[in-house]
Amino acid sequence: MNRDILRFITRLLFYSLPILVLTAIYLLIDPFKVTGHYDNFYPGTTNGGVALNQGYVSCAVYQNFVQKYHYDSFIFGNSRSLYYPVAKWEQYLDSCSTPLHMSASSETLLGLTRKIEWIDKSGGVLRNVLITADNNLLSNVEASKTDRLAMLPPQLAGTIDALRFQFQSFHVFMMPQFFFAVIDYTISGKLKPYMIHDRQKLMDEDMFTYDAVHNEMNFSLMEKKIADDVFYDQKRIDMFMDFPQSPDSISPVAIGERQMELLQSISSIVKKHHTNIVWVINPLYDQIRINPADVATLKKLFGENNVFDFSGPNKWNADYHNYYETAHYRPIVACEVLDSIYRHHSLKP
Amino acid sequence: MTFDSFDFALFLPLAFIAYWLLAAHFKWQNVLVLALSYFFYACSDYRFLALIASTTLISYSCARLIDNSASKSHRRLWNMVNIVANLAILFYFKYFNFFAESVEAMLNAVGIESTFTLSRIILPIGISFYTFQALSYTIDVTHRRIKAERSLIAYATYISFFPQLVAGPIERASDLLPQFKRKRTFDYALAADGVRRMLWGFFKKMAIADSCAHTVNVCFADYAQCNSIMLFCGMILFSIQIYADFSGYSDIAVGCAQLFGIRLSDNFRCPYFATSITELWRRWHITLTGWFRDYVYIPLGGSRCRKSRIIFNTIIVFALSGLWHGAQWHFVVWGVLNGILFIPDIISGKKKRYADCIAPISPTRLLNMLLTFLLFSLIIVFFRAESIESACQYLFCMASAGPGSVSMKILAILLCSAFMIWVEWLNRNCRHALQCIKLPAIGRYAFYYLIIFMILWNSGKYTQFIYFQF
Repeated sequence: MNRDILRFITRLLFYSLPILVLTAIYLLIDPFKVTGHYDNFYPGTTNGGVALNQGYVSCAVYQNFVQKYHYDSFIFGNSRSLYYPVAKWEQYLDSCSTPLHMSASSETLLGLTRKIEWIDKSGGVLRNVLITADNNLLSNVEASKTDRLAMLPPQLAGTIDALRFQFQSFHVFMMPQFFFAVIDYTISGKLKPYMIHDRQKLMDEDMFTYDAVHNEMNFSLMEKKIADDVFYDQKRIDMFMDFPQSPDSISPVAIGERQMELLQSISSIVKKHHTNIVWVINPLYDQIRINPADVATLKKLFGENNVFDFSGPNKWNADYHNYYETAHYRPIVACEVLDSIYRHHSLKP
Repeated sequence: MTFDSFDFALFLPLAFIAYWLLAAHFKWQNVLVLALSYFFYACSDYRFLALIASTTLISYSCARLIDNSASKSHRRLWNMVNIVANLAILFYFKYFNFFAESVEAMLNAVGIESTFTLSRIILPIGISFYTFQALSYTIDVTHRRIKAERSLIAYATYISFFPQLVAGPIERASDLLPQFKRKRTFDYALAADGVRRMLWGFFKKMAIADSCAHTVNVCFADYAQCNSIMLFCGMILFSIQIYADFSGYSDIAVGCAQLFGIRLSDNFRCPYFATSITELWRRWHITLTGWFRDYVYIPLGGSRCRKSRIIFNTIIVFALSGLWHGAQWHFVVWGVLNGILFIPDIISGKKKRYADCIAPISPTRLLNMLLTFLLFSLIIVFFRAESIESACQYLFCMASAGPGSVSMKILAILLCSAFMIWVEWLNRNCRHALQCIKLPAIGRYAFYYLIIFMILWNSGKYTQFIYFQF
């Protein structure tokens, strides 16, 4: 190659030195926990901190511990599935089952399918599957390419998407807002309001304890606040007052051609594994009913008795105390949902 | 694939290295550039590769036939075949629904009930740009300004050269094609200047245009709820956004081409420092304005005819320019309004000569610059709004809504924009803002890092380039 070109590339690298130094710092501290190996992604009680890609955490926990714990039962879904307690679900499973949370932020049907395919291809066992879904999850067949919290983790992505995942994480790290917030947080140990306002860049204020074996977040601190009657302040109550915006409305049909392909892929895998599969349509606070055509499609593919629709107006969404905020219902609701499903549901495929 | 995507960050260095590894064989370099360009285009939508290939083949074949025709009538015939074929493709993909809707509305207005079945047609990215490039080529061959290109690879590379494929600059064959016909040697100074130009382009796009986008979107979506000051800021910010977005894209395209030893035309020359609308249009989207001047305005008679005819020609050109931007009536109105602003100059008969150099500031000049910018911003509301009606309502609300305050966020964006304008003013007579910074090396690099810092600070918003929709 021409000497001028080599000189050009060398100088470009030389002037990029500050960025290379930042890269080294990034790899060293690994703020998003996406380059190193972690036995516990949230050690101790988490009082907020750097938000991690939940999909990545789920896959990494599975990879790290599948040999040890022989996971065979999985809870899939978006962040709403986080509130389904493993201990409660275990009551309805065989005693030898080992459940694992496999949720992801803003989970898509594509992400869900890829996870199930990945477990299947890597020789895993799918004995029980609980999927919490809603219109968002069912209709979305493309993973985000820019939101580091919602991107497909490298384990499920192709080479280019895996590189994009790492690049996007590094990009966020280099953003001055995030960089300064991390330094401030590391020094002060305190979350400040400016650190929280943007999910893409900064930090997470959720308080939870973490069970590394089941990849389960336990929100007992928030539950304690509710018990102490200090959780629902006026600001939070005001958020609930905007809903339901249009009662008795039905969401548009979510399952189209591409969605059907993905669902058929899931269906063939669960048939192969003789999986006990349960679809839960989330009881959301917006009271919008999922389109009956989507429920019919799911029932056709996965069995009449395996799809449970809790969308639309019901006893839970009549009272905001059943919700942390308008998007997420509390574990007490999740437990009641499980009770109502398994009261009559056979665990045999 | 867009310039501000991860894919491009991966694509560009690989393309650069592969290209210069073939430096000894420029024909293979052309094959590589063609393959890279088609790959670049396919990343957006592979289905339209056939379309760009068709445009290339049609214009290439017609130009060869024109060149081989002895008689003028035959040359004109093949030129017409090419124009009709290319405009038919453009018409179908860009304007079919627009005309169907307009005809339907007209028939309904005169009492004839009719309903046309509209098709769901996806607009292929960059179609307006590469079609115009293909048209200018065959017209130039018809008029014997250039010879028809024999090498299909070189010609296809000219039509699809990836830095300028999706949003220009619209290059003339006489400028770009010869560059693909000779050996390229790596020019260190040209490449380094290209990197600086790309950096400035990214700054304009990611730090300025993307920051303006949110406020502009809010103002134009919900103008009835905004106060006058907010709407005024929305209007000004859109003027800044569209300039930063499009000139930023052009800077990245030109800078990127320089890395491959190719020089593209400048598309913007500090248009907001113009002291009249006429001058502004000589500095704004120069390659499109030049295209319309040479292939529409001059054939219509240009300015060598009666004043009424000049006015007519000017308005026709601007109406077509509006229509080129989008198949909506509000774009046409935006074009016509710009044309109307030329009328005082035409009537006064003053033939102003605008130098490329921008003179130092004076109170009169500053006042004229501000007035020109405000006038341009007022009209551009018709460009941004969803319809003529909403543009009028926006302007009405801006004039009649009560005063109010603006957020600190808007003030911060205006401050960043002022920084951009200040740097461009200091370098107003250079090809781009980072070309001739007179600072010692350490100061220069500190300045570059300040720009990188501002890009990173504002990154993560991912707004599509505005001109991708045209």
